Amino acid sequence: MKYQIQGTGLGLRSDHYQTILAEKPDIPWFEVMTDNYMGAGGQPHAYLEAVRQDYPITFHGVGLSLGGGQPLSPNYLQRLKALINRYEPTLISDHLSFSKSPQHNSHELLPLPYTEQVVQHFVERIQQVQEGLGRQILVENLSSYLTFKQSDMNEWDFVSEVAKRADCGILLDVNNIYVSAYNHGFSSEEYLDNIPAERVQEIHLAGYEEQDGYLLDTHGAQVYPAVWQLYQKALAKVGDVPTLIEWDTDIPNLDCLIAEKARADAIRQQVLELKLTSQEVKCEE
Amino acid sequence: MKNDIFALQTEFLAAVFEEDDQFSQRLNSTHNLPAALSIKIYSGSVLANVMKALGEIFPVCKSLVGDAFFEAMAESYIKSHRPTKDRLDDYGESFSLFLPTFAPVQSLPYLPDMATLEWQVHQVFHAKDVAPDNNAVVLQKMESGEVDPLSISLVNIPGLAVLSLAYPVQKLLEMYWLDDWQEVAMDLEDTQLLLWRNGVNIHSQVLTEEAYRWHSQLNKPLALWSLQENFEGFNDLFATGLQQGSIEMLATS
Ligand SMILES: [Fe+2]
Repeated sequence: MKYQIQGTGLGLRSDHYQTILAEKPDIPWFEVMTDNYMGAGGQPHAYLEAVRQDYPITFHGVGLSLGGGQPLSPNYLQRLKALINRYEPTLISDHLSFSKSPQHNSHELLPLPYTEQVVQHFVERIQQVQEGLGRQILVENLSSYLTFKQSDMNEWDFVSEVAKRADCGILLDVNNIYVSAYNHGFSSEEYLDNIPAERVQEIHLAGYEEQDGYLLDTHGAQVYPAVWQLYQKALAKVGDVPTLIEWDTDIPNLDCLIAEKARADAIRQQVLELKLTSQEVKCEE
Repeated sequence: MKNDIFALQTEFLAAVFEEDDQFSQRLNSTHNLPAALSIKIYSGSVLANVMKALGEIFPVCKSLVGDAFFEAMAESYIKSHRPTKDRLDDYGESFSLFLPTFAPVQSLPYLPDMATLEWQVHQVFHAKDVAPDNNAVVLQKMESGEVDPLSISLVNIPGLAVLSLAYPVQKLLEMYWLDDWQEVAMDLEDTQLLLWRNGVNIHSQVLTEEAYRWHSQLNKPLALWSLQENFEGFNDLFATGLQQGSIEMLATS
């Protein structure tokens, strides 16, 4: 097995704690929003402990501010490290974004220009985090609503360069690719074609909202048909990497998420069988 | 070089918090996404996100005033108190102090007390856990002579708060917890309140004057013998604390 976790996982949300513990649904792994467990104790930890007994988990954060101009927060890193020691997640990820300045914390995933200078900035910070944690992390591509005049490279080259030079993994959010491609008029396929497959260790799928002239990444809807198609292409390229159904707002019941997971599983099976068959054909030649 | 990234980030955040629009000059404007709209999307998302966090920390206040009123109140608070902390969970400490300055709240004079109480519920909710059998172990060691009673100290558990409120807002909190809203008078009524958590359950209790003094002093460890000397109702206070799990026994050898 290439990874310790396989198949389609779901985000662990407090709305579902009780159902998960009572019914122990057949879900191969859960993704945990790290920032929701940074408190010292109480209910979040009690439930996470219990869920962790039965399921592998991954950690997904929004608070590292990897692209930030201020030094990485030692307090945040320390808490993250303590959580990692306690819960032993299979993967740890955050985003290719920044969120704070000395005067504000937006708690939002804000993009930066795609330039060599910014690549280098991310590389240094990711390396610092990886050194501090003593292990590799994954960085996720954003959905975005702006582009900088200053940018002089494509988003896919930017993501690839950062990952290669920082020697980190990529968490490829296929919905984010689709949303940003739509918003900024680039090709989702070209994006996929240019991502280093060997770096992709996890895929995210989610739903967006159509607005007047742009798409808004809400994580509050089912995965759209065009994103399922892109997912097929992504799997054909990167192989059997774990996939997450990400749903963070207007959270539905667990059955609805399990249905989305089944759909991802079916696509995965189809694509990987096809890939296998085509490889066999090649061997016969 | 780094200064350039730093300047851009400061401008970006100032734009997001609607303090400055210099940032838009750095952006490409397209037909579908003109720069002003791009910034508006991020501002809207930040505001909604922080507002949602406040709503989760102050759910009773939100229920009492309704969504629209709460959002107006939260928006005004966010404008005057920008989030700066690493974690959104740490945002909102001064909400109760802000509320009296928000004119529409003046018709709900108990609301700041409600916010004070909810902030403490939030702290207690996330506080460090204690080992549930710790006190039993110390008591056993004391009885078996393994530990000298003179070396025992008492302290409040980490998941505990002592509050002095002008209004009996704990009644509103309890109704919210039970989801059973009844008419209740919110008249001025000095209330000393204890809030503490066992496992995942948070409890509240109105305190007597002596119990208030007891828990106020126990925010730091105090020797058992000195407490015995200073509190007339020591036996009851000690027994109640053990039974509630609101105090922790520490044995220093
Ligand atoms: Fe994602």
